[in-house]
Amino acid sequence: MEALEGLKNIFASEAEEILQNLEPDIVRLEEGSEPEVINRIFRYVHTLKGSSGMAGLNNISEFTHKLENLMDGVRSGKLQVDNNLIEILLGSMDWIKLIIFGGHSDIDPEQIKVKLLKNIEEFKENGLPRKLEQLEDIIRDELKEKVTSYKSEEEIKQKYGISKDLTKNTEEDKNTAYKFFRITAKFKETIFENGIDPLIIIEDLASLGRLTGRRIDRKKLPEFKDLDPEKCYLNWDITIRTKHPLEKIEDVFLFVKDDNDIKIEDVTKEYKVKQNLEASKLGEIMLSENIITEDELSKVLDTQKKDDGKKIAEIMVEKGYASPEDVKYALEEQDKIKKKIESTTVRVATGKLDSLLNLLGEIVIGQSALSRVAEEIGGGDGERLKSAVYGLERTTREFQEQIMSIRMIPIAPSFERFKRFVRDTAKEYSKEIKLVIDGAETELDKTVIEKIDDPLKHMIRNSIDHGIEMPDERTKSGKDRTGIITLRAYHQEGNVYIEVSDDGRGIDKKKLRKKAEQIGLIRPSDEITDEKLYSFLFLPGFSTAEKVGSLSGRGVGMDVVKTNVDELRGSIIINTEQGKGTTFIIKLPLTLAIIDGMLVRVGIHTYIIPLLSIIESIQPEKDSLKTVKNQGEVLHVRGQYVSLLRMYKLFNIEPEFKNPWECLVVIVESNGVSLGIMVDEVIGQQQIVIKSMQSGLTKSRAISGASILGDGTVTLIIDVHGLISELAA
Amino acid sequence: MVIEIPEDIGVKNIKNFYFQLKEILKKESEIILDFKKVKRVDLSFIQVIMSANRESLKNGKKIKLKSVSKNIKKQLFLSGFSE
Repeated sequence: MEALEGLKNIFASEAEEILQNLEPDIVRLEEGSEPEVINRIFRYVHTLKGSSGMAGLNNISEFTHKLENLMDGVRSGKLQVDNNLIEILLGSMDWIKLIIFGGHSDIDPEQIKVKLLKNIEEFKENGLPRKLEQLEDIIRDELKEKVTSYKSEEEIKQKYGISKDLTKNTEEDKNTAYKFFRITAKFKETIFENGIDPLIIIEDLASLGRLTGRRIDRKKLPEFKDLDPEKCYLNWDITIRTKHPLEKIEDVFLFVKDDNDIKIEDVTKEYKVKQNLEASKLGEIMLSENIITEDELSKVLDTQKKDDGKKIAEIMVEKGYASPEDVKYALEEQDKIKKKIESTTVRVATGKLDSLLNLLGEIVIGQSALSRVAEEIGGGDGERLKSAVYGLERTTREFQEQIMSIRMIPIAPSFERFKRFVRDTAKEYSKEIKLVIDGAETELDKTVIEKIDDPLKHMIRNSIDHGIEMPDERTKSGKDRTGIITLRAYHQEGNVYIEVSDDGRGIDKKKLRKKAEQIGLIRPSDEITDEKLYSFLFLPGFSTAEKVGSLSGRGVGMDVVKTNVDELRGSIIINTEQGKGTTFIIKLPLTLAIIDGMLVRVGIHTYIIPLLSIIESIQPEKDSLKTVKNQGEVLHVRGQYVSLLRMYKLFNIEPEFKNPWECLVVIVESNGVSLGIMVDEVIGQQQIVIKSMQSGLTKSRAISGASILGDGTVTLIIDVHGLISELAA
Repeated sequence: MVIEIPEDIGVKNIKNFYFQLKEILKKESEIILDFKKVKRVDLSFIQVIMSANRESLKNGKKIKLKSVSKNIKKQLFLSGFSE
């Protein structure tokens, strides 16, 4: 019983992943019936069927079997993709989710299932056949992916007129003399100046074998307006399957390896496991062991299709293609491969990773304590201890990076999920909207991804409801009927940026101001910046919508966005142009648990300022200080005026120095606004473990959390963004 | 608007092409890049159209490629412009 429960849990986690991928693919299918998307959907449904069956969830297994048959019809060209099919598929996903994860439904899930099955049957009877050229594309795609193609080369060529090249790989794969090399090539930005085109090098490399993995890092590629076309921004991570030796691969990079970051690694062992994974189907094992031929396997599979339920092994023995001993041998091989595959990857509960990170935090605190002891001991012993702690610190930092990298996951699944959301909500509002995703490969801490989900949903909802105009309105204003919402993610200067932009009507500043005046946020005579004006959008209950829709307009939502982003120590900027659209830019820190901080002292108190926010520390000249009306004290730093903050006044504490020219000023920056913070001493830089503070302990936005130093004292961490916002308010 | 890609497009004349494309992108909502004269391109060119494509997608504009040879298609694939 327990084992079955365990299987069910494994299935639930696997299904969650599959459904996350499946839903955006179904929406993609609606946008255009790409063969690889159809094949992918088929495979996902097939996996759901198999896994649910293994977990004893017959209800889902039987249902997905029908769905698989339906997708098989689409795949083979008997049925055409249309709205009905999309509705059936999306409805089916909702039903599966309801059964696996529970949730609220007004209709009995059993009734939903019956209706869906009826629709599936009706669609199978009435769905139109696919066009011939699309059919060929699917078969080509199948061949490339080597998923279900068991037909002989000659048969395929005759039937579909496909060139030999496409089928060649299947034969090549059987040859074990191939080696796999992984090449990461990071070229210098100035490489073009030396007359070298990295693309020629990559082309040379590709000519040596077949690329089995190809990842192009486009993160450094700037926005079009900032692009320097004479600089190289792309980097490659390529895996090649080749018969050539390592030296031959190295020769390709001969002229660039000294000046550029080129790494070549033999990953043959790793890839053999992957190959084994592909070959773990019994039929394919027997094929690779030369027990049966491709033709024989093809015939066996045809027979199995007709005689559903009969095992492949039985058919092979019946037809005399293999002896019972051969089957036994192949089954044993299959078992070995499965075990080997299982031992190469481990699923780890994120809670365990969190505990690991917490423990690491404690180690960092312990390290700080050791450093302090080393200082106190002094002399030769102290120096030796310091040097040992320094070594330990390096390892801890690497350890932290490793744990953080495990926690870092691409934002793709989170972004992809919004495809369905945009599709459904756009339909509800009779709008035509396309969701464009950019930078889905950007990696973020898992916790950040989880917490950013809700804000993104609210912002997209806002764009759909208020941003994007009705199709006719768009046409009248010379825009495409279909509105575009873009979700974009990228890394920049130690932060992650996520943008939600639309090409809609933009924010009406006059309307926004009028509303702010109506509810008394500002007076008609007040002059305020655009940034301040837009910040009202994030206030609870603030909405300029004339009508309350089912989606938005209630003023609930955008404040949730701000709250969640604040919790993540992030910030939001709004860029908008009337008639052209709006962009919300969320800036988030890369990590949540540990930061590099600068320890500063004011009187007897120590504070931490995040290193990322610090521009410089200066000791100001007496005459560089000025007092400006409505702005308070400012400091003249290299031709610019920076507001000065007396930290002792903010925290109501007694400082050592009260004159700015006697103490140090730490210049910090957030969202383009600089501030000079007056401190008595800059103690030094340190890794800081952030400990969250109980809510209610402080309402000040100037404090983002606390940390425990090596000597056990609790220190407050300054939230530079919050501090600047609070002072500006 | 159709832009005919010059036969000798490469890092030597990429700046001109970039500025030309930048100006056109400001005005046009759909640009067709015609490759009929071109046998191969270099990375500097691909980076420009890659960044331009990203920009245009963001602004709801379209960049289409026309008369792309098999060789250039392979180059676009290897540089990540196309999948």
